[in-house]
Amino acid sequence: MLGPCADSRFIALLARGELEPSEVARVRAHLSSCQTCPAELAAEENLTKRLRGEISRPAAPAELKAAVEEMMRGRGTVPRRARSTRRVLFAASAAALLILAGFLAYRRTSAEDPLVVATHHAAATHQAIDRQRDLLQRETAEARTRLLDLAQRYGLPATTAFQGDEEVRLVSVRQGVALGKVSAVLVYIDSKGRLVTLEILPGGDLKVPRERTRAVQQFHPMLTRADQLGVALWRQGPAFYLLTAPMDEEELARLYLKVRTHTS
Amino acid sequence: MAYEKDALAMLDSTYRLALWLTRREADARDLVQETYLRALEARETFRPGASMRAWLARILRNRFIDRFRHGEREVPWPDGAKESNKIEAACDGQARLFGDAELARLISLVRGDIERALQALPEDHRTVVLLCDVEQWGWEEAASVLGIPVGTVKSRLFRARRTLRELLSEYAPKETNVGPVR
Repeated sequence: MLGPCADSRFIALLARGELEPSEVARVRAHLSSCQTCPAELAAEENLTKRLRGEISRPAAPAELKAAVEEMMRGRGTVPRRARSTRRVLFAASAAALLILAGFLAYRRTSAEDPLVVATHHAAATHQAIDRQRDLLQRETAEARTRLLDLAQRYGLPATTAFQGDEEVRLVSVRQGVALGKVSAVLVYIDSKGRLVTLEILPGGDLKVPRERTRAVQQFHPMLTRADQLGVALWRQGPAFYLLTAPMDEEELARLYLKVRTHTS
Repeated sequence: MAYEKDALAMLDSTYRLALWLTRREADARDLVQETYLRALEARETFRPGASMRAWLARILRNRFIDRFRHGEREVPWPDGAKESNKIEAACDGQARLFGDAELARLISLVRGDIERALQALPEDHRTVVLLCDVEQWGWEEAASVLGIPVGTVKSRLFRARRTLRELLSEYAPKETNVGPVR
C-alpha cells in the first residue's frame, strides 16, 4: 500500500476549485505522474458532489414561517392591517398561534400597564388554544417531558408547576412567548370539559401591587377578566403565573388556590 | 423593516442548521423562534452590510450550545433497522398529523449513508461541513458563525471531510468472500 503523497494536501483545494491558477497547473502536472493522488482527487470530488447533491435541504415548515413572520411584524414599524386573522389561524400551528396571540395582545395594549398587557395576552393565548383543541390530545403523551425540557432550557420553575389531578387534567405543554419572553404554557381540561391554561414566564420586574389583589386564604392573586375569561395573575418566586379559564371569580379563586397550593 | 425582511429571507437556511444541530424538528422550530426573537432584541448590534445569514446562524448556534452544553439532552440518533422500521410503521399508519413531518424527516435522514456520516461528526465539524460544503457559504461567513479564524475553518473542514470519508468507507458494503467453498 502506498503512503499518502506529500502533494495530496493540495488535492482537497483543487477539488473545491480553490487553488490559484498557477498552482492548478502544477498539481495537474503532478497528477499525471503520481500513483496515489488521482484516486485522492476522485474521492474528494466525489465527496464534494455528494455533500452538495445528496444532503436534504428542506425549507422551513409553513407554520414556522408564519410564526416567525408574525413575530417580526409584531416588532416592526409598519402598522399591520387587520388582515384575515382566520387565514393566519388556519395556516399557523400551535406555536405560531401562541406567538400571534401574544403579539396581538401586546400590540393592542402596549401603551397600558404590564398587568393589563399580561391579562390580554393570557386571554388571547387561551382563545388561540381553544380554537385548535383537536390538536391537544396528540400532545398529551409528550406533555410532561416537554415541561421538564422547557424548565431545563429556560430556567423556568416549571418543575413545581401544577401537574393536574383527577378534576383538572394536564393535556399539553407548549412553548409560548409572553411579554417578549419565552414561556411554558400548560394546557388542562377540567371535568366539565373546559379549557384551562397556565402560563409560566420569568418574573423579571412584573409585580402585582397589593391594592389590585384579592385575598384568597393566605395568598393575594390579582383576579380579573378579559374577553369573557377569568384571569388570575400572581408572582411566585422568580416566576410570574397567568391562569386563565372560562370561570367566574369565585370558581377561578378556587382553581387558583388548588394550583397555588400544589406549587408551593 | 429591511432588517426584518432580510432576516426572514434567511429562514430556510437558519431552519436547516437548527435541524442538523438539534436533530429533532420540534427542537429545531423552538430554536429558530428563539433565534429570531433574540435577533430582534439584538438588532442594534447588527453591523449593516454584514452577512445576515451568518448573523442568524451565529445566534442560533450560540443558543444551541448554551442549551445543550452539558450534553444532557443529546437526542439519540435513530440508528439501525429496528428504529427506522418503527418510524416508517408509525408514518405509514398515520394520516398527515401534526408531528408527522418530523417522522418523514427522520426517515429521510436515516436513509443515506452520507447523511448518517455527517450526523456522526462532532458538532463543530458537522457545522463546518454544513456551512461550507452543503450550504456552500464563503469562508468568511462560516468563520463568523463559529467565531474562529478562516484558517481554522479550513483546517477543521479538511479534517471533518477526512472523517467523513473514513465513515463512508466503513458503511460501504464489504466485499464478501467468494472464495472456493470447502
